Amino acid sequence: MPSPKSKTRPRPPRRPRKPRATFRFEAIGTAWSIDIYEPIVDTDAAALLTAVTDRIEAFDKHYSRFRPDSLISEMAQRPGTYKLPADAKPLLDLYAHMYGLTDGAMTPLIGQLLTDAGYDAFYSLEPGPLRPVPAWDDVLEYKFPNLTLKKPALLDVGAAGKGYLVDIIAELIAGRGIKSFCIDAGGDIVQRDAGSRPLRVGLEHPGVTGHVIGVATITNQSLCGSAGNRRAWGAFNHIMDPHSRTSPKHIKALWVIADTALLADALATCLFFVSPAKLARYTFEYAIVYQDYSLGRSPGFPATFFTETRRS
Amino acid sequence: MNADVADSKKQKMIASLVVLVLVTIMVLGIKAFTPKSPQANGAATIAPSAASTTATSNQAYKDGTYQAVGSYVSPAGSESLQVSVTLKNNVVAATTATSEANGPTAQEFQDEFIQGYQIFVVGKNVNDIRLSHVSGSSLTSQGFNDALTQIKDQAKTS
Repeated sequence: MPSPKSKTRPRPPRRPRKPRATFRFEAIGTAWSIDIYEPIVDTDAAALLTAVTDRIEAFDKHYSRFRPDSLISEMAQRPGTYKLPADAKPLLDLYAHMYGLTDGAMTPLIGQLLTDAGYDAFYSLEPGPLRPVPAWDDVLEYKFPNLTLKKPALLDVGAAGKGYLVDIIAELIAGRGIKSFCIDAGGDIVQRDAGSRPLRVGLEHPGVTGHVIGVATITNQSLCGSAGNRRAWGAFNHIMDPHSRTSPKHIKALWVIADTALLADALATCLFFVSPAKLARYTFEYAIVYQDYSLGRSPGFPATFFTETRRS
Repeated sequence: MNADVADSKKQKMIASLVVLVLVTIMVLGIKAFTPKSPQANGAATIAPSAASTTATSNQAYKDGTYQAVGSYVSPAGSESLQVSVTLKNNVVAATTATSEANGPTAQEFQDEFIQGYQIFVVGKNVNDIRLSHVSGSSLTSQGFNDALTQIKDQAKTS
């Protein structure tokens, strides 16, 4: 067994690789950075950026609960059977599976509760009365490509949607023959590298701004993080338990690494509600910082953590 | 209701793991054994490989890290947990526990137990580590860097 000291020994700083092109922009309420690690002519880069932002806009138009002209807003107004866009299948299939595995904690029907708590289109952040979250079968009938809403319901796919969108953009970039790139959408990261060179990602300290609690190394994988310290207001943050109608407090922050950002993002939410063992049907690695800053991690989580050992 | 039952069962399991480890630590403490002694069975059936000695109040212990495997029987069968204790000047300076669980449930209980037991994360200033990306809450690397820049500027001017 390695001595605890070896884990906290400082490592010499390494200089990150320089990208050949970088796009930075704001979209879906977060900042994006896309680094291209191979030569690309300016006109191709400009065309790629346009294609990327157009694709993000198309996704937002379908799945944002914040825009009144979105498909999800339409569903909230008018029950009925909707033919879903082609890209909805992986997202809704995963929600349907995870709804069962988490006893309904991971649910797209969380939208109204988030809004009730104040996480609305205007970030009003003023909690009102919190209405109960309906059960899937009471409201939804899902058989791709159809989704039937038996009554009006405000859906929210925020627990997996951002990760999924990062995957979609990664596909778009790879489809243009680019093999080495990194997409970072507010800390949800997809990295692809033709030479399998790893990417070092700092894991943000959930309590101390400007500090990290470890460095993860990903290679052709996706890493998504979730924490309650930001996008937090009053007693709430962006993660809410549909049963207790509160934001979980037992976990400060967690990270998931998986082959797709869709899976990593979705699992990052599930782990606030169920133990990793309950999600064993999926292939993933995780690291969890609990309320008391104790660390839980899967043995294969590829990171160096800064830790101390003490009696609890 | 099921969750309550599962919770109390889990608490019981974790409580028995705590007892097991405490017993193991005590046994490690009172036996004059050699560092890295390979085996000591846990809980009620402790059978140290070293010759049995009687603990006395002025017993001195050699500094070092000692390891033992504690065993217990779960509803799913026999399970074990490896415990390591570091002694310094007759004081337990550090303890670690490593899961050797066979079953997934035991693995889960032991992992939770071990996680809550002794490893805590500490922060390091991001300036001491060169990183192009930071992941955390839905805060961006850029926002993170901007905030850092502001902090540095404030530090310089104050």
